[in-house]
Amino acid sequence: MMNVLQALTLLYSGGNFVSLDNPDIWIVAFGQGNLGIVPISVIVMIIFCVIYGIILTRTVYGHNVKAVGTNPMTCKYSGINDNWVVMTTFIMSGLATAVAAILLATRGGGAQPTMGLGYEFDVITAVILGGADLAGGEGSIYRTFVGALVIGIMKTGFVILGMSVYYQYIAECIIILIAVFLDLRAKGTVRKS
Amino acid sequence: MKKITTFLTNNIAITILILMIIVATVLDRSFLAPANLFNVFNQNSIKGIMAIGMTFLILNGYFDMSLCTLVSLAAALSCGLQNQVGIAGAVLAALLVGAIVGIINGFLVAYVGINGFVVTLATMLGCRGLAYIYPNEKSIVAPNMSFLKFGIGKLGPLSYISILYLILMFIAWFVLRFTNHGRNTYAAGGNAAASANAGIDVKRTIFINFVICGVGSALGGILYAASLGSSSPALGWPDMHMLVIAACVLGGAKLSGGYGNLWFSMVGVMILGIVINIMSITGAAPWVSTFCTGAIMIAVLIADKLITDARNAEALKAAEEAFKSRS
Repeated sequence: MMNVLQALTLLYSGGNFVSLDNPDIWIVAFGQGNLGIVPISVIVMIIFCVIYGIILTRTVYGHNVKAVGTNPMTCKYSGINDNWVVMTTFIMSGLATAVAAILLATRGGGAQPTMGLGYEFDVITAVILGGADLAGGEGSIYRTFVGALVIGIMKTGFVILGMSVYYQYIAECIIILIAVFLDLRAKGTVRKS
Repeated sequence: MKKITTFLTNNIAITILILMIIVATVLDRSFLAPANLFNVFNQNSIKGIMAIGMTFLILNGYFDMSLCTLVSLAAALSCGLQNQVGIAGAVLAALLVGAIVGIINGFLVAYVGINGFVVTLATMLGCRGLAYIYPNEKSIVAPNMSFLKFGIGKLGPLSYISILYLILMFIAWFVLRFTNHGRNTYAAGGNAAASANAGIDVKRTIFINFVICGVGSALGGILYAASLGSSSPALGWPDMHMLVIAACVLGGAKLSGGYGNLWFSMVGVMILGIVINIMSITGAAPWVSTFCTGAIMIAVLIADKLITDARNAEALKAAEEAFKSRS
């Protein structure tokens, strides 16, 4: 799918930078505008966090998502449509990605075909730092939000310190490993070698 | 006829290879020229060497994301260290770094118990940092010409690298087929708990397979550097590991482990190679080959799923009938 999308992006843009033709169009406000001192993109993020958080913690659907993540077979036998749940989670992820892409494009005033290359690693890192279990069934929106903040603070810190961006990768590597190790130890599942 | 259909549905990789060859021949007759076929093989043998290591790991139920940046790190080391320690030393050092990364991955996954995806994602980022820091973000030209001569040299129609690939394939096949480690790999991938109860050291098997994959990716990086005569920090980024995993999956290996075959992984590598080759022969835009690779992957996964489901349903039906006739 990644290959297909990459190809479609290149096909649509012809490999060129696609710029916004009309910089006064309302959608630009999403990427560049401010509401008071708060950028609108931050507000969009907060709205998304709240909506997704409510869906995950306060609705039957969110409950089903976690249940299916823990054990799909049990859910199937207790009457949850697990295929549907899995499909809708992919749709939710795609929707969030599309909104993020709009914000990214309007902030820069245009889109490059290679934009977002390697973003998936940052995003997955944020989710892991937030303590979500890759095996499924555990995690929450606000903890993922904290994970994203950690990554953002780390990146800004490296810029302020004036260090090369490549040291940041090594730091990210070590931070992920330590975070996941501590998470495992907190759950008491570290196997003794 | 029925035998042929069963063979083709059982070995879906070969079906796709035949289909691809037919499509490629229809698109351009010159595809079938022996020189071009050898070209496809020579061009993809480096990817094949990396796919050997990855097959070991996928058989065990894991995969290695750190491959893509380990490639560039090993390439940079094998070019940059040549002035200090000579070719052999540089190559050995690069292989050693690959082994170290494999050891880190394997130790954290097998003995500490962290999810394999997270560990290899983290080491991927670490290797990427090192691959840029070591050469100061520059590409390094290999100072010794015999390094490049090995990379582009040919013995008859086969390049030295593809001969090395064939030798490694036979060694790997021997290991998987005739040694304890190979049998343990299949067993641990199929059902880790059952094989642990049967007395197989599952942790050690996982550990060894991560080291094999690390060394294999480092070797791939060295050979890329040899065939280009230089290294670049962006080599392999961002989707080399995806291509190698895709090749193994095209060859019928299951990411959940336990199923797979080295020779079919080789077929998978060649399928991806044929797509790129026929696109460049017909002069199609580069996005077409990316699109075709993705589309073929999705089609193969769907076909594989359908065939497996049909076979399971058939087996279930047969079992039910046997049960009925008995009672």
